[in-house]
Amino acid sequence: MTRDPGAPSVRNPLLIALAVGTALLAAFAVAALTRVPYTVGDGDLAAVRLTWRMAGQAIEDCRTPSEEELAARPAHMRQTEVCESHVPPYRLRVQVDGETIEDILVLAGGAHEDNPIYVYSELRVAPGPHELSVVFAQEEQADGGAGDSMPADRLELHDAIDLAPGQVALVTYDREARTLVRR
Amino acid sequence: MTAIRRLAARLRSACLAILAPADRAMNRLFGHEGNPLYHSGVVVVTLLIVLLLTGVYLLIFYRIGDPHGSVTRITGQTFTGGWIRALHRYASDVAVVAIAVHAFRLFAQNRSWGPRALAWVTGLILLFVLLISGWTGYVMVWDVQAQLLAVEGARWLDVLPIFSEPIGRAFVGEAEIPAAFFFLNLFAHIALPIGMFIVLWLHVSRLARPVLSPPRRLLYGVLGLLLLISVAWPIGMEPVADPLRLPERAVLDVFYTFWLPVTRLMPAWTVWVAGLGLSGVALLAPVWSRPVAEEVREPSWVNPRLCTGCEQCYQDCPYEAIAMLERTDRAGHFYGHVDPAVCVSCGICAGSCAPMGVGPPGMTGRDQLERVEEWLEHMKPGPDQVVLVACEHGAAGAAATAESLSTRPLSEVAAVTVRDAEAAARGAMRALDAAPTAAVFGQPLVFTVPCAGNLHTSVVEYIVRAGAGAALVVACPPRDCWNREGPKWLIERMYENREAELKARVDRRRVRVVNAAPGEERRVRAEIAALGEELARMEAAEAEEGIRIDTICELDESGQPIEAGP
Repeated sequence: MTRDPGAPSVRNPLLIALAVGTALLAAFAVAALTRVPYTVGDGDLAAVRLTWRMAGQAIEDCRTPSEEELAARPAHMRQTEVCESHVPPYRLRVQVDGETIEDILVLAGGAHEDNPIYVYSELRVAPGPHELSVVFAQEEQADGGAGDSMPADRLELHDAIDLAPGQVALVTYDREARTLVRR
Repeated sequence: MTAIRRLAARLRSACLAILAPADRAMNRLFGHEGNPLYHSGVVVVTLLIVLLLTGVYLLIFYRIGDPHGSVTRITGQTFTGGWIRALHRYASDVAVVAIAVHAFRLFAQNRSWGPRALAWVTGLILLFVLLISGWTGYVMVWDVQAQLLAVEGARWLDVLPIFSEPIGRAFVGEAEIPAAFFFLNLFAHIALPIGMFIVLWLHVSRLARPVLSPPRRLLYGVLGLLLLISVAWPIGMEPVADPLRLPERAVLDVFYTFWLPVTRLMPAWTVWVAGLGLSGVALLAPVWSRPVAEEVREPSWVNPRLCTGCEQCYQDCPYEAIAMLERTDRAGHFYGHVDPAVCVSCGICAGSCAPMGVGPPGMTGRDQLERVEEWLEHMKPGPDQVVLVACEHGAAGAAATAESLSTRPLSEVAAVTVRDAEAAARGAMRALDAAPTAAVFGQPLVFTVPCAGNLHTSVVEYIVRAGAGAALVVACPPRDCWNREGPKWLIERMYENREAELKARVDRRRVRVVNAAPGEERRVRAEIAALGEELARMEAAEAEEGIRIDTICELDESGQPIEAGP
């Protein structure tokens, strides 16, 4: 009675060569598959990227609660005036060489639409010179107009751009100058 | 649900039809000790350690303030950095492949449900964490691929209403990417793998004596190959990410970013739906892949009347499903108790019980004796014949089962018909190409068992004492037992007096064990030939009449098996 010697079954030189070849091929396959070229396909175009964050001009609705409403509230919550505010939507319109390539409504953040507005849009354009026009304007006029201390209710940028293939023209908001700028 | 489970059974059969030839080919090339498909699980542990060690080295030189520059410097180090970085990358790639093979294997082998559900789910979590960790690793380099990955990840996250500001704005080029981003990314890249070791502990928590390292031959082979390819073909550097340039081309790692070309074309919410849907289907495999009720083997059961409290089944159970409880009838004495929620019905305990009082219904030592008795009556092996006692997953058993006329595994058929047994033998012989040896001595016969690990040694004793020339047990490779540890315990029971040992009265010259997986028929052939030559030199085996195998270990004063019970 003998135990299983557990000796390798590979003894034939041809099989040994085949085993070594298979192992090397597997290693080569792993190394090759870790560096597979991928054509993203964006490089022959250019892009206009619009991105900014700004506090929109808010509309505030105030009203005086009725006597019954006040009576139903605890004493410390009986305010004589209740105000709710929201930022009306802005419309973003982008034209390149006079052709509108983007026309969307942008809502303020938050469930009550009272948070800052985030704009992010990336538009593909052909490389070369273009006339770019960006208008970002509030749809509904907010209270108080656009005074120096108020957020802007209308932003505009009209610029000539010349983009190389793959280049991104970044349009963003300059808080100090309170205007759209291109970088 | 029944229809889904029947569909899952078909899918499993299809997977097995892919796995079996692959296993056979690997066994033929590397032998079962070096078959990477068998050891895919433990290979992952080795690779995680490689990742940890190479990662520590890379961490020393990585700078979050200059990610691309620091990785470029590491890559350019004259003697070390280049190949260490490549080794880190290749090891992580092979880890993904190994986990996928491991999961595929367990699904194909019907080991993805029941008490194995925890291992299945934690295994998928390990894969998921590895993929995420790989993602953060690629972002660390901050090349074009990193830019694509970061932008894509941000796009997915930004559809979730949980962030106060869109994450994607960090990568638009409006401002320099904050170092905090690279710090967080690095933190995730380190923390996630540490978490993986905890999940790994959970993954093997239901196993007794979990083995976490591959056989040395395979270990050295995998490490040597990885090292060789790392030195011969190190990883280069791609251009640094530039948010103000549209990437024209990138270099992708298929193992980690295979999804990128597809998801970039999909709206973010559909990526979430598809990802969560696929993950849900995979995680719920223990539910939908469970066989229909009539195909599920019942869990083991201990007959307290026969249990002597020897603790052998408790020690041998590969899943720690057996506990020893104190008897209520005799203080200080114990009996085995199987937890059906943990038992996978492998029947390993059946082979460990000398009085044959434990095992799944129909698989206890007593059931095995009944089967072999009937089989011997039909087949009547002669003194010049070798009986192959073949595990149905091993080299001989798989072929026999495939050739059998039965629609169910032979070992589950209570009464083996002569026609069926002969067909099975023909199948095994064809696979083994045993005709030349059969011409020298008698035609070998095949007796199939569900697992060599639950084979009771009394079956072998019965075959030898019934007059067969010899009994050759054909077991699976030790590290690829479908039921864990079966071949290991079998060897110890046959050769090292492990309870329930092969009795001393059995002529040892007529018993052998060989570990051979499908594809290693050559080993079995060699053993049959060697055994045949020895048989020719031996005196002819004589059949005993009225064979009586002891099935009771301990009797009470009145000669009855000890009564027990909770």
